[in-house]
Amino acid sequence: MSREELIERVKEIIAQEAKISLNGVQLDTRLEDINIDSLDMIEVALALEKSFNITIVTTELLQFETFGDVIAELERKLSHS
Amino acid sequence: MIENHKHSVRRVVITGLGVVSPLGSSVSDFWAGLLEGRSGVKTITDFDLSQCRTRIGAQVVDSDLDAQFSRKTLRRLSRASQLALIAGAQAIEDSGLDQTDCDFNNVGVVVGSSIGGFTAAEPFYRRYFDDGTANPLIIPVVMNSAPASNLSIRFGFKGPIMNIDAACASSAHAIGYAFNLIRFGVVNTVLAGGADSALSPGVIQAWSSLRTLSERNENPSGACRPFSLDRDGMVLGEGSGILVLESELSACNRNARIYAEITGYGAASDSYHLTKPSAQGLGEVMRLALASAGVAPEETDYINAHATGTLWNDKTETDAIKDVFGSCASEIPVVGIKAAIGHSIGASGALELISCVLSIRDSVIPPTINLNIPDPDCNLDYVTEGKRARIVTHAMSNSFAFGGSNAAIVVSRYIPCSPETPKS
Repeated sequence: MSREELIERVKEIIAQEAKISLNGVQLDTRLEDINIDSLDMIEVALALEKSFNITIVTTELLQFETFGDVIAELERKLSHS
Repeated sequence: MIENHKHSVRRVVITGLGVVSPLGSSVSDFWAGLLEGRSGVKTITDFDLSQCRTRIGAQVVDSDLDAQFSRKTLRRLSRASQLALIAGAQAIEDSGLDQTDCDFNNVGVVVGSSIGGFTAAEPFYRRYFDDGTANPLIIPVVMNSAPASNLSIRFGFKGPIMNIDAACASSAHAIGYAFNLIRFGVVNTVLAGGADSALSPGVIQAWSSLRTLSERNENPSGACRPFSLDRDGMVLGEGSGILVLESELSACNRNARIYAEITGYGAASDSYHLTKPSAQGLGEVMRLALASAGVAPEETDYINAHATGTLWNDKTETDAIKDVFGSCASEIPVVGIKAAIGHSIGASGALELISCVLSIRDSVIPPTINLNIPDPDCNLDYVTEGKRARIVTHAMSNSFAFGGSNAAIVVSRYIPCSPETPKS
């Protein structure tokens, strides 16, 4: 999966779980600025875990501040799997 | 002897009302339905109850309800929270409560909700037991304190907020507690009332298996028959009633319209049985409420009864009223409106108190519907002929709960008393 494909796939998952549009979202976009709160991120993490067959522990989840943080962590996990 | 605090504490008035009910999603629709003697009880078709002895309920049937929330917001709101937010918005608008003349840091929210968490939990747990998925929203959606919290978050009230769960008396106690918060000077304003939904397959089945529900599935609107010899149980429902309570000074300072004054609150326990009421316990809260209001039994113009339509409640409540009101018991109209709006558990007391406020405002009391056959054990004046014109100066609203937690509230016509009356 290319980086672009990963980004699109994660955008789809976030849009689905948080019921929002991610049009125009950049890597440095802060999650709270697009109305994604801690409850949304718990649901997003659950969906990412299922979709990519990975584990996101709570301490990692709490450190996601930007969309790019999520992508970087997924890339790190996927490169080890 | 209960000390009468009436003149040493602040007066508490009602300046806003909001209602979502099976008779309509506004105060005016609710009131018109009650006065016309309509019933909001229908056959439930939203889910399968074919294995249940009872298949009727009093649903809020407003088709626009969901449309008032975004898809994202809706997922985070139990039915009880949705109903609370809609009724709360009505009450706030009705009272004209605004940050320009009211410090929202000093506004509390006290809501009674008791069964809504059970109903909200069902789809979550069904999924969990089916495929192991535990939705992270379960706790924030299901917790019974969510209606109060959602009201605080939505409108920015930063005073004390809490849920009061005392089963069927939850919102009566919520209003009583809010009354005390204002009366004793903790806060000036409280959004108080109840919001609850008892309508889900598991909850209806649970109450049915306890043999508390009417099984007249073939006649939904005639099913619940308070004080009637042929009564066979209550009908579950849902709804929300929210009131804006304020100190008299706060209301007068902002020129708010005052509907009525809460003058008395009685709270006590049967200390007897989890499901069977005690006439002594029911009578005790009526006495306490009258004493705290400084109202004599013979000054009471109207009693809105708990009147569930169960065999035990209606007879026990009648006995308690006779004991407390003595020779004047037969002179006081006693009305049960649960035949019309069902029993919404945590919301019932608030909806019933709002009907008392409207009786004071309009000098008319609604009928007890479906009382077809008089019961020799229930021989008070239950207003069966239809709505009745009556000047109501003092009304009592009774709420009695499983577990023996009982409440009675006295609400009175507001009469400014000079020279203590604050300048507006």
